[in-house]
Amino acid sequence: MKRIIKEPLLQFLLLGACVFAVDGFLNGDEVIADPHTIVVGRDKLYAYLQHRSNVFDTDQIDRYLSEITQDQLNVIVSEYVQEEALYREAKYLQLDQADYVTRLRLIQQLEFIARGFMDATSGDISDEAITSYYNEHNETYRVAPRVTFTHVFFSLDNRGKEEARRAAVSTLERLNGERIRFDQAPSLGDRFYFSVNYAKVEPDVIVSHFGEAMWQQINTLSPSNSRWYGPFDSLYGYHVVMLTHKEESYLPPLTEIHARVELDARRELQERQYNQTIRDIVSAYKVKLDLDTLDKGGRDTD
Amino acid sequence: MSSSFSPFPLTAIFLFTAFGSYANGQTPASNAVDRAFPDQVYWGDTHVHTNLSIDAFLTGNRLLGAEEAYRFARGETITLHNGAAAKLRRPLDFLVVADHAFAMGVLLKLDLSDPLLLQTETGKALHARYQAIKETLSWSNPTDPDLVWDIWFGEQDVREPVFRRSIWDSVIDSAEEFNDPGKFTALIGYEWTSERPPESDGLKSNYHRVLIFKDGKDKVGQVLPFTRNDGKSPQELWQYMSDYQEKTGGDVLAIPHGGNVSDGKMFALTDYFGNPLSRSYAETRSAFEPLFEVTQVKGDGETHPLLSATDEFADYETWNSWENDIERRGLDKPQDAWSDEEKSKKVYEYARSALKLGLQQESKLGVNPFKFGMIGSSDAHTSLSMVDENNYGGRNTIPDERYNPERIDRSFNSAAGYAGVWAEQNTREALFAAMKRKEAYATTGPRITLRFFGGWDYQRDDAFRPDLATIGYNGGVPMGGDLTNAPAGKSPVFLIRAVKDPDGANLDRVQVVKGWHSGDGKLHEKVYDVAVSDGRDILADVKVASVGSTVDLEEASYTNQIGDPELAVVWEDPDFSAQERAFYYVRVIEIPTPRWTAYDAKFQNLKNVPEEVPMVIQERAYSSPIWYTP
Repeated sequence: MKRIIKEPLLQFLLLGACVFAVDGFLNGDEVIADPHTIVVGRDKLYAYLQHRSNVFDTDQIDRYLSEITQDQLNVIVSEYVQEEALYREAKYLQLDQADYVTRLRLIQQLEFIARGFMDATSGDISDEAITSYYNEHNETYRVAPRVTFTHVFFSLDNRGKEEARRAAVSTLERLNGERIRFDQAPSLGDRFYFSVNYAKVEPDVIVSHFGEAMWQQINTLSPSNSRWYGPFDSLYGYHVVMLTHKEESYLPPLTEIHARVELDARRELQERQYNQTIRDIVSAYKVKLDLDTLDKGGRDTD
Repeated sequence: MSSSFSPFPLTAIFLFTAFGSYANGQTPASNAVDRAFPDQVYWGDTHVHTNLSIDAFLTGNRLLGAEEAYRFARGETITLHNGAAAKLRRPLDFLVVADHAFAMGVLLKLDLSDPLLLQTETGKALHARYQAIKETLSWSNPTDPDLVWDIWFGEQDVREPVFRRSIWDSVIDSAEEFNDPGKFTALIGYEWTSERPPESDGLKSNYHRVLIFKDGKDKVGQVLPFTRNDGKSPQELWQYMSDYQEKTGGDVLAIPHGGNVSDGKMFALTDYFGNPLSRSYAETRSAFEPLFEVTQVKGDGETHPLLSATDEFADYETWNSWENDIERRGLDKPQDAWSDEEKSKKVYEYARSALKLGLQQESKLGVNPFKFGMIGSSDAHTSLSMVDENNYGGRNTIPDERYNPERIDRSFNSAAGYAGVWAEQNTREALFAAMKRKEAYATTGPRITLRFFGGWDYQRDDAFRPDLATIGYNGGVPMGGDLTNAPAGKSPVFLIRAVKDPDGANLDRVQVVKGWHSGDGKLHEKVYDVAVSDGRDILADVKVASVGSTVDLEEASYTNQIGDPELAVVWEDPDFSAQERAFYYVRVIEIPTPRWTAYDAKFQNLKNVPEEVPMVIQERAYSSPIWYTP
């Protein structure tokens, strides 16, 4: 027995055990988690939601987590899992930091790396890919209609509804019956608040200055250099309008916008590759849902 | 009739004048008709901070730089730090990225362990300290307070030219990249941020100025920003500006802000060194500082209720001091709790009072040192110029970023303002020239179109003429101009037209604010209601009836059922005296609308918002003055 106790190996083993015991005592119940498993409990979601919303009120978040639907909870869990997976990957490249913005920055850096240092002009993309991208997304390239018109205004405020309309109608007759120079026409009415002449403007400007209803009315007109139409009503009164030019909304053919489509198609390809890279990183982690704490609300879990 | 008449050539000419297009501030392709005067107002922000400013960096703006600031201003979508997307409803026409000159870029580059910074001695020394504490470093919780103090109060700047050059060149390069003459103007600038040496209670006064260069890389690249380590007094700053003009042949102007938090210093009658103002001081100041940034996120500086006790609109977004930053608005002292010393300082802090003092100083020195026009800008430290009440981007990233429900605790911040500039075109040269001649005005956010002309002969009906601007320019001077030597028996007559923001609220009224210096040496002010909406009466010595309110706080909404879309008038000064120096400026007041706090409360579904948080405001525009000199 004494021989065994004097054995150096045993003494070192015992010393080693003491070290571990002391460490265990000092460092408490820290479980060394499996680095490839992401545990999602309510506590993890607290931290995640707190920083995302800058609200640090646990009760409020508790209530929120209990009140949302399973679908909404699933979304939050997925987002958290993705963030955590990326963060752990990023940690291998940088020191672990406690600051949330640093965490975001680490993720940002990893995302940058995942994008493979590509900018929009690098990388290969085939003509077929460009064409198919265009076919799928051609509505986003639609050019809004643009109109050029001048108008005569009859103010509700100045004249009242009846009189404004009456004046608009009679001015319309005059303008179409007599030879009045178009640039003198506006002075037959009231001074408008914004512009008299609108050159190649898109619908949102017209909606802003005149209202949606009047844009719809103007949109039905055919261009003419001599004919006035109306009366149309805006937010502010009645108008008679001479629309001299209209560019219909149209879809430019691929040949016209090839460079732009190529850029966008490249971006989409990179986005797909990037998303795949992220998915590859995330799927290397197992996810364990701590249902007891997540499910305090007792919602239906399908 | 003999020949057939085709209106087409006239159509083409007429339509291609700048009078035509209102499409988001863009001018049509050609200016075939030569106009001698500006017929379009351009909207911009002359004061945005990016992550290059160390206080912006410390308050959480880590990811958004000058590029994001320009992209956002011209209408692109930007991602906030919290992941949300942000976009302006309507783009701006121009932007000045005005980062603090001292320690520009230092914290950002320390954070990135930038090799160029680490080549410098100061950079190396700061870097070790910075890396040790970076994860907890923030404005409110510095774990190395000396580091923050040293850098913020400017003693520990990185002075090595190689580093400063790299930062300044990057600022210039991004301005050059985004400057697109005719479409969007990026003016190069920075902020000179002098405060008195810190006393025991920290920040007390404020001499801040934003510098704006007219020029591009070839001239601005020849200098470095003038920081408060180079000089703390405005006189030294003006010397730098004069040196720049001489060295490069270019031009630069300075726009002060923060009078309301300057502890009585901004418009004091002694200079930085305590000497009474001199004539040469007045000449230099008025030459280099044609504008004042009167309204911004740190409150409105037009006037103060203590100074203008009978002005019912005087108490607007009032900040009494830096202390507003820490305390809630509701804890402001009632007026009778102000000490005489505190009250007396206000005289030297607010624009209306300063304009009056300027008249007095002019009679004493021969030159008016406080002869400034007025503009608004944001002073946002988020890189994003977002000051609409229903699209307010906040003052500092942490804690005011959009979608943070706790930012209502800083309810004293104001969603303001913008600068409206009457220029012939959207280019550096034209905008700069307009600022120098003070043909610009301030708004607290809404894009109100404001014309203001002064002369001797305008007629009542001129207010209704479609060629109002032509009449205005031909018959007098625009805002920022001067009238002198009144013709015998005549009073100044003003031609004014204010039009609502097409996407905004109707107008309640237009006022003229007059200040004058009477023979006995006293200063006076009076606010005249000159045009009011809804057919209300303006009677002598009777307060005009209130316009009412359509604000629904539950919904954070309002309607335009009250107020008028346009107010225009020709007004003659009924109290004019040809021997007295005077100024006149226009103040346009909108109908009541929800404040950003009301939109936040609704959007975030906030319960228990404290009662003292203001929820309704009447936004406004302030023109630059027109001065009368006998």
